This record gives sequence, C-alpha cells and structure tokens, in this order.
Amino acid sequence: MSFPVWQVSPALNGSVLIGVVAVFHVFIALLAVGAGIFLPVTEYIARKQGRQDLLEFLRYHTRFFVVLTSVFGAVSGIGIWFTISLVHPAATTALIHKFVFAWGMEYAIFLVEITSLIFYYYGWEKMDASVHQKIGWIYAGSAFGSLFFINGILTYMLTPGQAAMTTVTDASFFQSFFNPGYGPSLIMRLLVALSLAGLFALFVAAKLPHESDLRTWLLRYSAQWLLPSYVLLGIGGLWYLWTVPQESLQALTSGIASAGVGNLSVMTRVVMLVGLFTVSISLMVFFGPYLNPTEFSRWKAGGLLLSALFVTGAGEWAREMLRKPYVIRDFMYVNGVLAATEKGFGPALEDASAYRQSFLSGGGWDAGQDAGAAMFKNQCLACHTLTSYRSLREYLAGRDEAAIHSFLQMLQMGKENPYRRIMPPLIGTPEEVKALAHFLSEQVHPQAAAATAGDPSPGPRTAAR
Amino acid sequence: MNENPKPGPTPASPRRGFIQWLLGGLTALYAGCFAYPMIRFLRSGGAEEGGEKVTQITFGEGMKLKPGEFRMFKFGSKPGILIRHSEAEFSAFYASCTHLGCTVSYSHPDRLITCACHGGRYDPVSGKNVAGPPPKPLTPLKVEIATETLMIKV
Amino acid sequence: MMPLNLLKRYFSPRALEHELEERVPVGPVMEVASHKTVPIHRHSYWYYMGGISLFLFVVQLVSGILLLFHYQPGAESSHASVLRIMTKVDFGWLIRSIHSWGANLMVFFVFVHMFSAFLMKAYQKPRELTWWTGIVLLLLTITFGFTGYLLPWDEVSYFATKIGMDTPVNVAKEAGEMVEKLIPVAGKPLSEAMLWGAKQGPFLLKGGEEITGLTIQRFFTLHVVILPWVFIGVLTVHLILVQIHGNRVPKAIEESKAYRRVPFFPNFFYADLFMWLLTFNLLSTLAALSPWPLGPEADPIAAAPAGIHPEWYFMAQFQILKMLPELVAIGLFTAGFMLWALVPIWDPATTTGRRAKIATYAGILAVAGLILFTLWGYAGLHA
Repeated sequence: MSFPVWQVSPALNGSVLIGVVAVFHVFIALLAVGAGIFLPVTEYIARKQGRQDLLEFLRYHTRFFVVLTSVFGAVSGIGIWFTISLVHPAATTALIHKFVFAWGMEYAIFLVEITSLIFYYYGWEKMDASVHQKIGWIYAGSAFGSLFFINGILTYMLTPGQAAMTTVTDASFFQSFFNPGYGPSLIMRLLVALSLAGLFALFVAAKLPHESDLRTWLLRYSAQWLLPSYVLLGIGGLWYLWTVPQESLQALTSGIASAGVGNLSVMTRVVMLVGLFTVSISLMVFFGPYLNPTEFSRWKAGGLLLSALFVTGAGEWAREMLRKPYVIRDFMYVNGVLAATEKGFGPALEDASAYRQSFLSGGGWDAGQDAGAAMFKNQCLACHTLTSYRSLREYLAGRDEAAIHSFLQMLQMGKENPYRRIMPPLIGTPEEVKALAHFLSEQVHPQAAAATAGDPSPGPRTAAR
Repeated sequence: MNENPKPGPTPASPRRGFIQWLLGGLTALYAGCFAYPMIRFLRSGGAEEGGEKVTQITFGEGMKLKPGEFRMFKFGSKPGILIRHSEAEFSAFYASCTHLGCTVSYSHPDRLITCACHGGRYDPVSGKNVAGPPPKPLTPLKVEIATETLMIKV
Repeated sequence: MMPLNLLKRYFSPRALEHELEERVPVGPVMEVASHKTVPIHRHSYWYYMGGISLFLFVVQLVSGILLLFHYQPGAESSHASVLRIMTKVDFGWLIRSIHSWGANLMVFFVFVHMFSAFLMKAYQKPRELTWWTGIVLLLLTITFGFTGYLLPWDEVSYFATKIGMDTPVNVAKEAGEMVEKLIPVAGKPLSEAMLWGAKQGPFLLKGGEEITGLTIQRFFTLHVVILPWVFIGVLTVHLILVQIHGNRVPKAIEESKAYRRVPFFPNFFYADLFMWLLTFNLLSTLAALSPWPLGPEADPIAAAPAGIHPEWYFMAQFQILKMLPELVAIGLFTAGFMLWALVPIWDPATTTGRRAKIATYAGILAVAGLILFTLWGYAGLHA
C-alpha cells in the first residue's frame, strides 16, 4: 500500500512485462559479454598468424556489437529499471539500499565498456595495432566486470545464505554480494556468454562466400567457443543446484508424475528442456559447423541461435520461479509482505491469527477503493493475470465464491497451508478476505455475476460497497 | 559440380582424440536425457488397477462401526470411505480427493473429511468441499441398510 | 600367456570385424553407400523433409512401445489407464505428450515432404513407384492418426470416431436417394445394396453397429500391430527406391548447373542429424510446455460437446463438408485425390510441356486450397 500498483491490462501484469524485457536484456547482455571476450582474443590470434582477412571480418563483426551494446543493451537495461521500479517498488527500494555500491560500479564499468567499444570500433584502421589490441583487452575486462557486479545482486535474491535481510534499510554488503550462489552463477553465465559469442559468430560467418578458406576456418573456430561449456556447464549446473535452498529443489521434482496445474510442475518441465537443449545445441554445433562446415548455412545458424535464445530465456525463467514465493528470499514475498513481519508475531507460523491483521487499514495509495479490488491489486497481481499468464480465470474456474473463499482462507493457515512453498501468505482481516473472494468470483465468472446483479455489462467494478 | 573437402579434423592429431572423447560424452549425455525419463516411466508400478466396473458392493463390516467412526473400502478399483454419523445415519463417498486424487480420511473431532496431501477439507455429510484446494465436492455413493448388512451403490 | 594370445587373436576388434564380415558381408553395401551423393542447391532444404518424417516415425515407434507398457485397452480401462499415465506414472505425461505431438508433427512433415516432392516433380519417370509408395505411406500415416485418436476413450475421441465411421454410410444414403430417383425399378434394390455395402467397412472396424469396447480393441490392434508392420514394409520399399534413384534435381537447376554434389556420408548424414536434433527440440518444447490434454471419459449417451471439430489435418475437408452436400464433397475428394495420386501417369514427361505446367499449378492450387480451407474452418469455429 506504500506504493501504487500498476495493472497493465487484464491479460498483462508486471511479471509478464518484466519477463519479456528481462529475457531480451539478458540475451543481449550475455551476448555482449561474450563478444567482449571473443573480439580481442580473435584479434590476438589474427595478428599472431598475420591473417588480414580475419581482421577484416572482425572489423565488420565489431560494428554489430557497437549497435547491440550501446543501443539495445543500454535501452533494455534502462527498460529493466523502468519496469522493476513500477512493478515492484518495494523490492527495488530494498535492493538499492543494500547494493547501491554494486549498481554504481556496474554503471561506471558499463560506461568504460561502451567507451572502449567505440574506440575499438573506430580505431580498427586509425590506431596502432598494439594500442588497438590493448583497448580490446580493456573492453573484454569491462564487459566481464559488468557481469561480475550484476551477478551478485541477481544471485542474492535467490540464495542470500547467512546474509538474509531483516529490515528494508539493511545495508550490509560483502557477505550479501558474495552469497552462496555467486560462484556457480558467475561461471555458468560466463560459459553461456562465451557460447553465445561463438553461436553468433557462426551466424555471421555462415554468410561468407562458400569458396573462402576463411569461412571454413571461422566456422570451426567459432564452434570451439562452445568447448568450455561442454566441459564445465554440467559441473557449474550441479554446483548451482547444490547452493539452491532445499525447499526450492523439492519444488523442482514436483512435475515428474503429473503435469497438472496447482503445483510447480511447469518448472520441472522447463528445467528438463533447459538440460535437453544444452546438450542438443552442443551436438548440433558438433555435427553442423564443426564436422560439416560446408553444409552449414545461415538458416541452420538461425535454428541454433533460436534454440540458444530459448534456453537462455527458459533458464532465467526457471531461476525466477525457483525463488517463489519470495521476491527477496527469506525477506520479502512477491506480494510485498515482509517475512520479518510475519515472524514478528511470536510463534506465528503455527498461529493462523498472525495473518489476520488488516492489510488495508494502513491507508496509502488504494485507500477508499473497493476492498476486494485493492486486495487483488496488492496481493495477487504480482504473479497472476486475470486472463493470460497464470490466469486466475483458468485456475479458479469451477469454484464458486464459497470455494474461492475457502481457498483464500487456506493461504492464511501458516504451516498448515499446503501452498506455502509456492504462494506467499495472504494478509487481511476476515472481512478483507471475504471482499477479495467476492471480487475474484465476479472477475472469474463475469457472466454469472452480471446475471445475478442484473447488470448487462460484466466488467471490473471499483465502486465501494 | 565442385569437389568437396572431406569434413572432420585431420586424422591422428591429438586434438582429434579429445574431440572424439567429447563427442562420445555428449552423445552419452543426450542418450541419458532419453533414458532417465524412460526408466522412471517403466519403473512406475500400479497395483490399483482392476478390470470390471463395479456398481454395488455388500459391506457387512460397515454395520460394526460405532457412531463417529469411519472405514475405508474398495469400490471396484477405487477407494471409498464410509462414515457412520449416528445409529441410522451413514454416508459414503469415493475417497479420491478432487484436487489431485489423493485418498482422503475422516477426522472425527473436527467432523471433516480431510486430505493429507494438500490440506483439502470436505463436509462429511454432504461431501461439499469446504476448505483447501479441492475444486469440487467428493462424489457421493448411496448407502442402503438391509438386515444385518449394508449395501453401497453408485 | 597363451590364453591371452588366443583372446587377442580371436577377439580383437579387427578379428571380430573380419569374422563378422565373412558371415554378414556388409562391405559391398558400405561401398555403395560411400558413393551416394546428394545435390546441393537453393532448394535443397526440401530434401530434409523425408528424413525428418522418418525420424518422427522412429520417435512414434519408441514412444508408442513405451505407452504400451502402461496402456490397457478396453471400455472400462482405456480412459482410466491414460488418466493414470497422465497423473501417476513418472514422466507418463511426457511420453504421451511426445507421442501425441509427434503424431501431429509427423503428419505435418509428411505433407510438406509430399508437396515438395510434387513440386520438384520427383514423381516423374523413373520415380513413379517412389511416389506411389509415398502416397500409401501418407494414407497409412493418417490411418495411424485416426485409429490412435480413439484409444484414450475421451469425449472428443469418441465423437471423432463416430463422425468418421458414419461418413461412408451417410454418403451411401445420399447416393442411394439419387439412384432411386434416376432408375425407376431397379433403383430401390440397388440403393439398398449400396447402403449395405457401405456399412460393411465400419461394421467390421467397430465390431458391431455401435462404438464399444470391441471398437477400442480393433482400433488398438490396427494401431499397434497391423499398421506398424505394413508401414515398415512399404517404408522399406520407399527407402530402397530413393537409394536407387537418388534425389531429384529440379529441372531449372539441372539445366543451369547451379548445384554441386556432396557425399551422403558423412556430409549429408551430419546435416540430417542436425535437423533431427532441431526437430526434437521443437517436439520436446511442444510436449513440455503444452502437455496433451485428456478430456472426460467418453459417454455414448451424452450430447456432442459444443464446437467439436476434427484435428487440423482434417480441417480443410471438414470445412468443405460443411459447405457442400456430403455426396458431392466426398466425390470431389476422391476424384481430386485420385488425380493427385496418379500424377506420374498424366505428367510423365521430363520436358517442360503444357502438362508439366498444369501439374505445377495443380500443386500450388492444392497447397493454397488446403491452407485456405483450413484457416476458413478455424475461423468458422469462433464465429
């Protein structure tokens, strides 16, 4: 209630929006990190072997990354800030308090990255070879540096370890930054970045004329950029899973026996796909550009890149899902309820009354609005949409108002609540919960609601009763 | 038509051995991606399957219940639950929770049918879902008391 | 040392290979295979479609055999066992979804393969038999789909089968009425004979007048025993013919010499592997993100659910059937399909003549028509 909640449309909530922006941004950012290493390393090889054609190719290749990093990378990065501050201002505030130094450093390093990249691109012909190479190394270092800093913040949200936050203004830094998930995550992201750089170089090199030696050389060379992933990605993945909290891992296996809704089975399915795609991309690179460069085409490179885009997006999505029901693990739930507040009610977890404090009485943004609508906006919308992604209309179909009400009451049962690993607790007085049940019932069964009310226009009603 | 170079690394280079080894490993991993679900699939057993559809059973045990007690029974291949509320009042349901199909139980002190899996609660007389995730009431069965015995029907 | 030497002598890989070669001489086959080449040009992508269809058939075979370990055919058990596969068996939902999605993808790629072969004129002499075995494989694929559809015994599968089984009877009835009008005396017995004849096929398949547990049993037998063996037999002939004749290079490309040949093994084989991996990525994504649904158990007395419609590959026919009298529509399908299947006879030449042009236009028209009527059919559902 301290902040306004932004409901984009019945079919689109903040988490869908941020998902789209984030997947786009992560793909670009990792590609940029990988390219930041790929370009100077390849330049070094080209200069050592005295290959003019390869240097020419690299110059052409650089131009794309100037556009990618400075335009799409920067814009989507700002886009993330814009979206998270609108979608989850409470979590954003808490994270800024803790990580303002890391974010400041990330900005500074990004500035170095962009600057060195621009010098690197425009200096291909004008600069002395050794200076150009040095600028290339600076570019590589700063590209890795931005990953180094953002990785601490991202992993903290899932694996805070001993450094879980207790207050919104908790500012302890180093233990939080180097949290248990930091190491494996950094390795995995770096490997993915190198693989993406290789895949993208494959895509560009596939267009070179078939007769040229450079094409064959580049295809087989770029394919080898996936080699570190072949060897280390599995180990990194296991290490990563080892640091993930036990409850989250249990949720991971919930989809083996059934694919139904009402549990996190979809996460099992997505993680399976991530594993399968990782291996199949490796094999495709093997049988495609590495063993058979002549028959490799841009079209096939596109298929590879598409698979890589999918696996990156799916991996990020699974990571976000693993964190549920928290937005910042052990501190803040996705609906903005603080875990500390919850614990503050004494032996509260067994005592259901802890959840029955008033949610709306604090005033703030949604004061004076229909209680049900306000509850919905503040406590459901962070994860659910009405009609599309995690659609409440689908999940609650077949339940009348009484059934919805009893479901909501269950979310207030503390340890008895079977959904406590998936959904955050519901805070609200019995009246507030009843109002939410009524509101949801109206939204889920618009025709029925309209018929009983004699109102021909089914739609959200926000007037206070 | 032009000649094509034979793809693949030049023979006998040390890298070739490594690459071959990697290729073997990757192929094994990919095969593992198939084998794991297949083995789990085949290992899943099920003793609960039965053939014929049952529409009526005789359940003499039911008469021995004291008021407030319940007894589980097999209705064909499916589990059922019989609850005696008073001398003359019985109710029976298919005992599969309507949420994800776990078998429910009866808790006399609370006067509720409960599901241990995800905390579903049902009214023991009507079978109506009163709390928890179940989307629908339990499917009821008819109870008929004959002399000395008890019949349960669809 | 003696036993070790003996072991080495008789069981070294090389010795074993030699022993095996003496008994199963694969050498000559490998020799032929090593000379096989594939033409590479700007339409070469279509050559992958047959390989992808073959790969999907293997996927169907493996996933189908796995399902057999848990599926129990029968009026009482079909739906229950599929429900169990979907909710209780570890990865049961995955295997079934792979099988269902794989079936759809296979139908799709078989169609793409057929249209590309048609437009490349891969049916012309000497490839007529390849074309005809291909047509048989297409019909078998669709029959696989139709028989498999009933097996879960849910609402839609019951009605889809009912509609399919009633169609020949309805057509015979309409045809009978016409015959009675046109022929004064002999018309009545003739129409009765036609109706009787049309009922025999469905009667045999259903095991009676109605769709019952026996129908499941018969469709099951077709789906898992008869069709697979027939399919494998025809497929073998089809593949041998493809090996004999090689890939057809489109005329224009042949003349302009804008192509090169690469060895099938390893170049094109690796390329095929690449495409199969990509196809399996697609298939597993569909299966995992959109597991195949299972409706409520079939209930012969219940009314058909609103908006019931066939799978996408019957949608065009469904739409045409809605627009035309059944007799006319079925007559059109039969005539069109016969013309299509017999194209090697009416367009046998290798020169670019009038007939070759007609065939090309017919191919484009068929693709466009199928897409148009399919979309039209889906648009009609929501109207």
